[in-house]
Amino acid sequence: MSGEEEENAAELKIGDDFLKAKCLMNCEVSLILEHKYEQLQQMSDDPMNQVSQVFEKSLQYVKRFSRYKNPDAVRQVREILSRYQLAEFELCVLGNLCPETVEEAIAMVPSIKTKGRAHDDEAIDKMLNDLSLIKKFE
Amino acid sequence: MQLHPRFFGRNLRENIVSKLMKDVEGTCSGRHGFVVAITGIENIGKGLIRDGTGFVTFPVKYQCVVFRPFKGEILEAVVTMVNKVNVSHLQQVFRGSYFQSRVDYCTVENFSIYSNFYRWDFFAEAGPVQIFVSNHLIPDDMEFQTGDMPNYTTSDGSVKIQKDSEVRLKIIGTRVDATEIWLLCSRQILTKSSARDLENHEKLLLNQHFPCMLPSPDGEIYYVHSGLHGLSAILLQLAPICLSPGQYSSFSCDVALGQM
Repeated sequence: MSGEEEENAAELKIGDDFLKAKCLMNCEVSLILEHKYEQLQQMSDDPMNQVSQVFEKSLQYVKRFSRYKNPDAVRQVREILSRYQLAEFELCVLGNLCPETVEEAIAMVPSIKTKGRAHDDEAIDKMLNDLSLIKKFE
Repeated sequence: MQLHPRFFGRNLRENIVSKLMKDVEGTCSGRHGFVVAITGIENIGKGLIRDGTGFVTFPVKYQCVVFRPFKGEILEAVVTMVNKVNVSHLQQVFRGSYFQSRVDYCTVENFSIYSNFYRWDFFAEAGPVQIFVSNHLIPDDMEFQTGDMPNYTTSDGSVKIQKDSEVRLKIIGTRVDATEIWLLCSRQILTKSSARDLENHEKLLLNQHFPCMLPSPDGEIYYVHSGLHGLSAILLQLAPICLSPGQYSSFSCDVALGQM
């Protein structure tokens, strides 16, 4: 359990497995799960019986908290955020929570401000602006 | 993946995949979190016959979507219950874990205020994960209201936390059981904006239960050292956070995951 105690998302300590893994935003998970759910629906009449409780709850959760419903918008969000040299995990937290101000973004993802990273307030502000534009034109 | 000989034959691959889905989806491990859905099979290796049983083990490499909350992460959750909790029950739940000292401390501290060892707390969930937010982690200017819909309300009434509210919280700790993850949350709420006046970022200050908290001179940064619980220092930046009007409160808190 020693690894567990080291864990701190604020400093981007989330374990090697997850640093390498692709991290998905709620809206992306929502697309994937709904796709899978539709597949199941075609295979049987009562898909809710087929899926685990974890699946069901996750689907409800991501549906409720997806900021972007439209698949194109979801793709754009990832594209825009990936221009800013963010770690996968940071990208997803920003995409999920959609902060509106620079202070808010830094409070949510403190690791974007740690030293050695090239993010000044201006860059963050621009990034948030881009994000809110997608939302507006969705 | 172990397979009974009756599944062999031309549908071997399908059988392996469907057994994998049945066995793995919905499970939870401390390291990887909840396996929500398998999205792809990368490859299925050569089977190995187990001596004496006829079962064959196939190594399967697959991709899946997992849900794994991290300590320090901020996420959104839905409140499932605002309820009173029997502290002695909590003590049982947390016995042997390092949360125990916290629960014991709460009990002694609050005895005069909350009779019968009951405290009001709320529970929330984020997907499959159960979250427990202790009374101590809710900001001071939120008052508890009893009634048909027990809730927490700010003094000006602009923000309410009740069943089905959406909240933002920060995970302070997690604990893993065999099949469930427990999150422990230690404290508090960041900020909110009122429904009527978006510009008015009202800061919710952390409560005073922990004397070790030191607000910085500008009132925005808090240094929390909860030495009582063996947690190390936590630095919380409580910058004005603008939220969608009236919808969310954002918090950092101790969170306990799992069925109580």
